[in-house]
Amino acid sequence: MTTLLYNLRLVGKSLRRDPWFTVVMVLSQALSVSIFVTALTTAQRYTNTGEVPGDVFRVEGQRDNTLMRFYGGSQFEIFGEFTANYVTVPMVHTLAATGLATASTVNFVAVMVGGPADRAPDRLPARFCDADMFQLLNVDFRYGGPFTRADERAAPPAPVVVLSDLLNEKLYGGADSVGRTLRIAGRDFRVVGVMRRRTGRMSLLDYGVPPESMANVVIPFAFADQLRPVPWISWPPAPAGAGWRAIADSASGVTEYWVRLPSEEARTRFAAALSAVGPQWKLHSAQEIARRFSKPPPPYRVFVILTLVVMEVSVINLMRMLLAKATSRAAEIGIHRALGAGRNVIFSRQLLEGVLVSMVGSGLGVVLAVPTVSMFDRLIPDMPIRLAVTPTVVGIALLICLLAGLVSGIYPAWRIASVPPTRYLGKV
Amino acid sequence: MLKMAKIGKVYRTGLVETAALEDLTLEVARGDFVSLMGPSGSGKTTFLNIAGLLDTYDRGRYLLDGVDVAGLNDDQQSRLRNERIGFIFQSFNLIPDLDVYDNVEVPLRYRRLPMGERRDRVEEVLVQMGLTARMRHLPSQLSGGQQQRVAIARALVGQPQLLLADEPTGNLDTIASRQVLDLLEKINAERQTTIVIVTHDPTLAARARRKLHVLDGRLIDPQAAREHAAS
Repeated sequence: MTTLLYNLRLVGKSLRRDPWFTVVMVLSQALSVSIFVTALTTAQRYTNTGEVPGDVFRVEGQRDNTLMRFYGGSQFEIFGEFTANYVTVPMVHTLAATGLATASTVNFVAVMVGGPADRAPDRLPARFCDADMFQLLNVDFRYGGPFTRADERAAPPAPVVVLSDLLNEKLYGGADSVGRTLRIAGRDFRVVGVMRRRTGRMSLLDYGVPPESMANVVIPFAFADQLRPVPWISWPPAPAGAGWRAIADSASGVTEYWVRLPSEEARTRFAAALSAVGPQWKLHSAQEIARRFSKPPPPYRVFVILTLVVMEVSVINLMRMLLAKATSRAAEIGIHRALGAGRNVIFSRQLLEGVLVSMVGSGLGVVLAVPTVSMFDRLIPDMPIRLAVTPTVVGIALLICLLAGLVSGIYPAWRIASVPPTRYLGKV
Repeated sequence: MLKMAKIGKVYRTGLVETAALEDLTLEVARGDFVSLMGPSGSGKTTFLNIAGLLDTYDRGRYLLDGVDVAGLNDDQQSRLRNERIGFIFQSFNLIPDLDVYDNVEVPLRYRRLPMGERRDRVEEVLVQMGLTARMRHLPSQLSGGQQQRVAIARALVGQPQLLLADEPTGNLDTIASRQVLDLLEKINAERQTTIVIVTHDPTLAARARRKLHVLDGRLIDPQAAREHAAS
């Protein structure tokens, strides 16, 4: 400990001797780290959904459908998936009749016209689903709570809605909007809850939803036909005012069906019922679906790799600067050698200097990453989920930077420790 | 204390080989005060580097206080250097960022002595050198004579058995030179510290008990040295 403190003191003095050089070393490291953290943060936005229940499944059909062929390989793919996970009305009725699922929801996103009752109507993305969706997909609430089965099954159904926090931010500036009234397609709905989103991360709900529709209102499925929703995407285009039945019956309607099947027996029997509907239908667990999003989309992976290359250049740069600095202090190192410092002492001191510069630069880089991420976020105006530097990203970045510090420090430390002391002293 | 037998050292630069020491044989007894004179390039510095374990030799045998240094690794050599040898350099070689106290303390740091013992030893040697008032001064705030006294204090603080000095008065005026020489004589007399001084200066060499001459990497007798100087 005493040796470490002494080495730290000497390293500190060494770094203070040429403060501008030290500043340049730290800043060059900080800049590359901030870019790396930005890339990592951006990539992380498209990964994972956190806790996914093990007994929740989605019904999926074949993946080679019209939408897949039309949008496959396009930029839209990075925002989600185009699976043939649509279901038809008779199919839902058939599956519901088995009584095997303890909870289920049909779920699709459409575009409506509406907004706060006291304002002019605007484009309003809407998600139609059953009340079970909130528990099936572990939805957490910022204000209020979900609408219930009772709301849906009342006659007539209760006109209640839940807002995504993005829509709540957009319409009410993030304030508690529970009790406010939204007018959708000419009908008034009372807001009963605002969903909470994990900062900087997409949720399972968001996959397959285009960025401009992520700020949406969640409406009980009981209104799916009454409100005549228009699908956000369909090919060929669905006629305006066609309603959900038309969407579900089209070749490209994106309608999901989620179920909770707690027992193995229920799963087996449900899968059998599904096969009876059509051989292409399969059950896919929510965990498996979440795993499909465990990696960021290719453009963001490339971005992360590019920033790693920048980091590598920065490591080489830091290595050269540390070597130059050590060489400029060669006489002093020679004196220490003459007074009894072995090669290992000089090596560890030099390495400490490299790691210290790297870690200070990395810390500063993480701090700089906050405004950099924010600036980068503004460059992608269509992306509603705000980027945020998470502890995971900071942890990964600091670990990589510690390794970078060791790598950049080892070579100069080895070089300077290997040279005989007479080379430094010139003359004893 | 120091026993060298047929020590040879060749410097190689590309295809050019320069023999710095040729079969140098020398014995210095404990408590001796030896001066080594010779012209530039005669091998004085190489001798001192090898004697101080700062450089290696190509052939021959070197025993330091009975230890054959050829078999020691870098760590062991560093420890031996730290515990048994003190260096005094012509250009003082103080560490510019460290104050007088910290400069003097450096060898004890590498010996990993407890803080209290380090403090006692440093303060004792600074009192002997008359430097207590300058304890917290940086080297740049001291005169040449004071800096050399700090260097001597640093060399003595570890209580070495062998003191190697390279032109210790080379950068000092006459008065400061005399003070340094008086100090070295006193150390030799009181502590029985073996001292080897390398110098060009005949006045300085004359103060040593034994005067040796080196030419072309070999020890020569005083008569030959005088003839060489005359020529």
